Amino acid sequence: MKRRDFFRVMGIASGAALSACKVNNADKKLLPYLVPPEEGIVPGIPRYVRSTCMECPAHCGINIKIRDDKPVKLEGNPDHPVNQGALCMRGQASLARLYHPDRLKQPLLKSADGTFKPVSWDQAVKALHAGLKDSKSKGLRNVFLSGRTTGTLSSLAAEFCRDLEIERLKEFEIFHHGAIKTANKGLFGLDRVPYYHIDKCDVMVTVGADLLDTFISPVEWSRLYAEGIKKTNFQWYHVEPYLTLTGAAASKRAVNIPGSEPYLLAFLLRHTTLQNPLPEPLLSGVPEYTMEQAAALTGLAKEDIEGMVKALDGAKQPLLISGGAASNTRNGLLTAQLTAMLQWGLGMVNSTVDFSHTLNDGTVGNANDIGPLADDCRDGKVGFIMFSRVANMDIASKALESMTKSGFKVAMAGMPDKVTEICDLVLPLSNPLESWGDAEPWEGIKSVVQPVIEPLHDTKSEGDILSTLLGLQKSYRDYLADHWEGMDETWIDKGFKTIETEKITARLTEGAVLGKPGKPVTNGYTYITPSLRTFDGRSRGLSVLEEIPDPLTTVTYGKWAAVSLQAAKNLELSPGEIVEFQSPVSKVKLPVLLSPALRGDLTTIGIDALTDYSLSVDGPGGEFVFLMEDVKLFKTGEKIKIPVLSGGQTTGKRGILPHLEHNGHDHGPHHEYKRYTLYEPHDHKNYRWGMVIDLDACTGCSACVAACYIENNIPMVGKAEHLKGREMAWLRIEPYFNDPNQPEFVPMMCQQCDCAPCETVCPVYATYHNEEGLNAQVYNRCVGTRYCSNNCPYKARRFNWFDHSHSLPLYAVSNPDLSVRPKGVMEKCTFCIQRIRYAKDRAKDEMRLVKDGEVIPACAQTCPSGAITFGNLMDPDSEVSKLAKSTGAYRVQEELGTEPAIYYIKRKK
Amino acid sequence: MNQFLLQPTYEYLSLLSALIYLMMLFHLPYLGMVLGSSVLSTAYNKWKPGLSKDFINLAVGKPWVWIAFGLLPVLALAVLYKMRLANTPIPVHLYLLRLSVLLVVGLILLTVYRRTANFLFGAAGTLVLFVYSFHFIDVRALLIFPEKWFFLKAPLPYPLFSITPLIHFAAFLLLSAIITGAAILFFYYKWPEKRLPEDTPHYALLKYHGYGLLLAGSLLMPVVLFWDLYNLPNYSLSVGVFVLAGFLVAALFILTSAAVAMIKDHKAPVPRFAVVSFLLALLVFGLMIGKDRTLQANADRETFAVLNMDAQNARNAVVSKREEIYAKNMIIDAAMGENIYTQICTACHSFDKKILGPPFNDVLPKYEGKKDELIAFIKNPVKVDPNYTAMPNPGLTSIQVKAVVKFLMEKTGMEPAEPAEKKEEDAGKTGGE
Amino acid sequence: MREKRAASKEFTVIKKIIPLLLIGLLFVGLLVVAGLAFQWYSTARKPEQPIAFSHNRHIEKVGLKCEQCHVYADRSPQATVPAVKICADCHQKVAADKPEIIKLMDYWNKKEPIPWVKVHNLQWHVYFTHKRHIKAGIDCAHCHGEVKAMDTVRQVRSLEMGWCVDCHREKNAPTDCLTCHK
Repeated sequence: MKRRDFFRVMGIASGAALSACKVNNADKKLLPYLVPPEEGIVPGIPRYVRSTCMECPAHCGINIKIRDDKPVKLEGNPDHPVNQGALCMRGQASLARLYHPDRLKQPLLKSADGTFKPVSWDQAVKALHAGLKDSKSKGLRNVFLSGRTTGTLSSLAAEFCRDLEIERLKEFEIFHHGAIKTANKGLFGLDRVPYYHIDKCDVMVTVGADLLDTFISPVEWSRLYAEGIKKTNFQWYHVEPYLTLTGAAASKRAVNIPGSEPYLLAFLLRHTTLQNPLPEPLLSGVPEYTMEQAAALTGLAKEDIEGMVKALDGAKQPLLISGGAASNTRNGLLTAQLTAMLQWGLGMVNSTVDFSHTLNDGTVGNANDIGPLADDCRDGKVGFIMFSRVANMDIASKALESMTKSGFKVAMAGMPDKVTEICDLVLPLSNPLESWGDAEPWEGIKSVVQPVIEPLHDTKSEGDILSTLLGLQKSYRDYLADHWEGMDETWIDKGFKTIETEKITARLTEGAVLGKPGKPVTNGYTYITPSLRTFDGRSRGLSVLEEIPDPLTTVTYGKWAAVSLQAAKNLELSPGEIVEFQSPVSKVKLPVLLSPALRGDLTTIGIDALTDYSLSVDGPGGEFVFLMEDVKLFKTGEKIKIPVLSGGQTTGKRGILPHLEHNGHDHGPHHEYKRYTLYEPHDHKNYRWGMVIDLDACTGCSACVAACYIENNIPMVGKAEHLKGREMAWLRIEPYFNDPNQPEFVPMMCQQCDCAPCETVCPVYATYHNEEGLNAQVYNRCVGTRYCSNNCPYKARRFNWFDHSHSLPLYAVSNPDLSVRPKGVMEKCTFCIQRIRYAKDRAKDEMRLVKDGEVIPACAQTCPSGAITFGNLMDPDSEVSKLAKSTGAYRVQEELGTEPAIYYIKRKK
Repeated sequence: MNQFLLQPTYEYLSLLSALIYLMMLFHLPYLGMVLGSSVLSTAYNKWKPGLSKDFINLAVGKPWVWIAFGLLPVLALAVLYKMRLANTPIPVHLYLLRLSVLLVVGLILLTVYRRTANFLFGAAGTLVLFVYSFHFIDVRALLIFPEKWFFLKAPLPYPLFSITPLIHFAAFLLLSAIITGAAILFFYYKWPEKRLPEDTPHYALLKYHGYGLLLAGSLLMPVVLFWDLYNLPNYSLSVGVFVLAGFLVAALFILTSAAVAMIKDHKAPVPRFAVVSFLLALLVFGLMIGKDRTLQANADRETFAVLNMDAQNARNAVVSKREEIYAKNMIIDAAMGENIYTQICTACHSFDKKILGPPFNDVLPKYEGKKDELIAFIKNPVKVDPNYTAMPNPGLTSIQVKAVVKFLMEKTGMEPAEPAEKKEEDAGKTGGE
Repeated sequence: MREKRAASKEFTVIKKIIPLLLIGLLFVGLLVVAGLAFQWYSTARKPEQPIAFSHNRHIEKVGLKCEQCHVYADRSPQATVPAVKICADCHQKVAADKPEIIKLMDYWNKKEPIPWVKVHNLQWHVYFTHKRHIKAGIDCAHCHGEVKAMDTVRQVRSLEMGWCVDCHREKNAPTDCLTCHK
């Protein structure tokens, strides 16, 4: 393990010191290594270490870019089976968690007056053992409640609980897919979530499942979706009650009445031709509906339902997925059961619905488990609770409240939250970038977690804490080594290992019984929606994610609720008005925004907008009920401003989003616009950098935006500036609601125009066209006239109105290859010139030109669906050149004569 | 020219430096006087011929003067600079030689002008001298910037127009004004040979010119001096520069005071402080040149240290060559080798242990039969084994190295020790028949 | 009588003011020189390092070459200063009694990197890569001066953009702004 023994390399590498926060030349220090780094590590050249992103349970593989012994960027691990080189925006932002100033820095013990006092680890361990002993002596329950844990840590946690006689409760996750698992257990005897081969299917129907937003593993599904749409006959029907990115990406989106999914599925069961027969007793429980009834009950148009039936019948490899909004209702279990029956009936099981490769969440419980625990706590039966990485218990506030009355509570967490507030002892967890470990998101994939930096604070990884508490006398690293015995060493370098899983063929079990439908919800719908930017609320606190707009609404900071146009009319609401949502169980005050994509009087609230709230639980399925009933809205009369960045909702026929005609009328290259300019065309030497963005593949997930932020040291400007419209993102996702039901997304950044309107107006020549086709911006020359931004038709230029804080600790995330722009300087995308420079440097070492695919800008690299392609337009064999000449390739606002270097490929729908 | 030059040592370079200073001191005040007087003379040529004549007679006189103070110093400087900048490929000397042509042309023109009082000659001569002095001063200033030396290959390098050379030229112009003014007062009102008779029509006017030039120059000079100090690169500054600048300010102050005092008393026929002013003007020139020399010395400090090192190395090479020849015929003594080993080598080596270098028992066997290779290695050690640090050069002479090698070979048994009888035999042979 | 007094009063004023003015100018002048000297002394003279490492001695006497210590100059944008271990390896024994060496070993024993003061500082917006320049065959002394003659390293080149561009133009290196402006 010599190579992994990075403890030898102590000290900080040479370079402009971060110890002097100011950029004052007189103070600059040059710090050497203590011991020269091992072979292969060259200071100034980035090195990469493979690990796993732990920001959400999808556990994508990451490639950590390290400069000067500090991680500065997370990129997807290109070989990892889950994400194959892509990383979502939460994953990109998770780097900032390492340096978050609010991180717990040392163990805290609550003193008698209720305040937390810092203690040493020894004292903390003693206090824990004392608390446990006390509880045992009183004969009370001792429980261990954690978030989803997989891999070796799970074994250690089991050992821990066994040895110390603590009850290991089922793990707490808000998105635990309890309905799906219960349904599968009932029908196939397999209490698991299967794998969905989206890329292999030709017709996909999704009911509620927000594949591309937060459902299980959105990066993976995005990639498979991109594969799927390459087929000409790929059809995707998506049924959902409120707008998600998934709905925007689907071929056909249908909006259903909330909670009416079972009716739709029942109709489909009865009216599609089943290949595998279902047993009569099971089928008899499914009600019969006529088309009119189904349409009325579900609120869908007849054509849509008919279309679904026809598509499923004619499909060779159909796929039906339900989940998300469909699960978290009172009818969640019924929906899941009907889905499973359809999956079996239409022959999807063991082909596109794969039980050999299931989600590894066997230890995760469901919402039913919280209630009994809360009751016991209230009755004083629980003497010791140990929490570990329990994310976002804000929606179970009542339960948490009851837990305050139990005995000794310990929490292991990275950042303070509601759970740590109520605890007596808080043990700070090291960030995954500082710890050893492994993760197994799906069966058959083991992904390594490697540290790349020594813990910044007095924290320990969970494995180390548990092994200390167990008295194991060895570090977690050694424990892991024991468990990894027999595995080929190279797996750590690769970042993951695929393990053969046994092939499981699911079979319909005898005696499967259909659940009973719950009472249909008739009024006062409010949906609690999963949040693209914070998953289930756990990524709150990462400022990048608040800075990046939500792609569907372009709102950045603040909590808000979306109300449908009808609901707004009912109450005469205007955007920004604060409304009180009162449900029988809780109430919350939020400002509202009007959403044309919501039907009826539906309102939605993002799950991260709720703090101190309680959601009810659907017993049979075990899901939290997100579809709330009897919610009454009351105007409070207050109004606040919500930062909405979008300039306009539609393209207004401005040529930004043309469509490829269905019947292929639009063959051939785009129109050749006459070039009206006095300037000579540019001469390009060796390279002309260009980009192609496939608008069909772009799902609007904004991973590229987050990657751009981290890669380019873009400052966070905050709410006040956003209210003035002074956003800072070089790359933005523009949603256009030309069809009010389905927005389309256009990623827009500096188009590197050949005939740029900005270059000619700079009084100091700070921006010019370089010989490789890039529109260059020289930061230190800019005097801040802002004429260039004025002239830009794409509004891609950003101005630094202020000096935004770049002090430690977050300064450490800065990419040293790029300067941090001071006040008064204009900045914009330059196709990641630092990466181009690096690739050219490498190529020059080998005396050759840069090959296609060697340079990949941050946005292109992280895109889960591979929508962005980058390369040399002068090279006829490069991917970009071929795509730029394809049918449907066009450039935005070509008629202005700006000759952009970015080609977009029209959407086929 | 290199073949005529010895590698200069530090002392030699200091001598060269002093000589350069002396040559500058001869040349620059004279040049200043010539420039100042020719400008004024040409200006008054048509208007006041008598005054004009007096102006030009101030500096441009007998030929030996302008050869001694004009041409010769420049030629000497070319040679001196070449020797001083011997290890750099900068053709300063060629540049100066080209400039000296300009100087000769200018002075000839002025001499003709002095004889004929023809305005055109005067103007041409002034212009040529102006250009010459601009080049001269600016090139000198450029020598402060080692990074700009390679520009001197071109006939008109554009850095001549960068800020420090221009400031130095401005300073020179002001100093010329000062010395011209002081010279006028001194030579025409005090110096017996040239003293103007009191009834000369422009007696007073000439005197006032002298006062004016002196006052203007000495008042404006400190400003230019400060600007110069502000713009100079940090590596050329040192305490000495600031001390000299301080003295300069003081001297200029005295000059200003003298000028003011004389102006206040302008009705007096003979200026009171003419002699003092002239001496002070010369002093100011001297201080200025000293300051510039210090600047240049600071800037070129390492270049000359390297020259010195090269000289040492060259000398060592010569010495060791001689040694080689002696060594061939001398009897090498293993005992001396052992002495050297104990004194020098044991710091890092031992036969059986590793200290800093490898133990001899491990590394010497590979030199078996290859004595010359080992000798060459010790004379010029290079890094061989990546596990050990590089061996520093022990700095031994050939004879010493041979002795050590002999000792090592004997100690490790690769070469038999010479039997005592054979030694005596040899001694006997040489001593005997 | 009155005239004479009036005249003398005026005269006295002139007589007193002008000398005072001149002396004032002298003081101002000396003050400015002192100020400039102070500014130079405090900020711009060759920086003082925590250990008085002499390049001259190590290159002349010991015979070290630049790339033996500044190892990454031909591989990385940063040439880097040598790790403390490289110094400590020799100096554990060599000259171990000298006060500067004691300081060095102090840092080594405390496992503290030596806080060298950076001499050659480029601006925040400049991307400079040693690797490309070494590979282009430029001698270290061309930009850093004759370091082998320096006891304490000082900056002897202006490091201004004009100087860089001059050499780039001469040697046909890229002069595109984005080459160096990051």
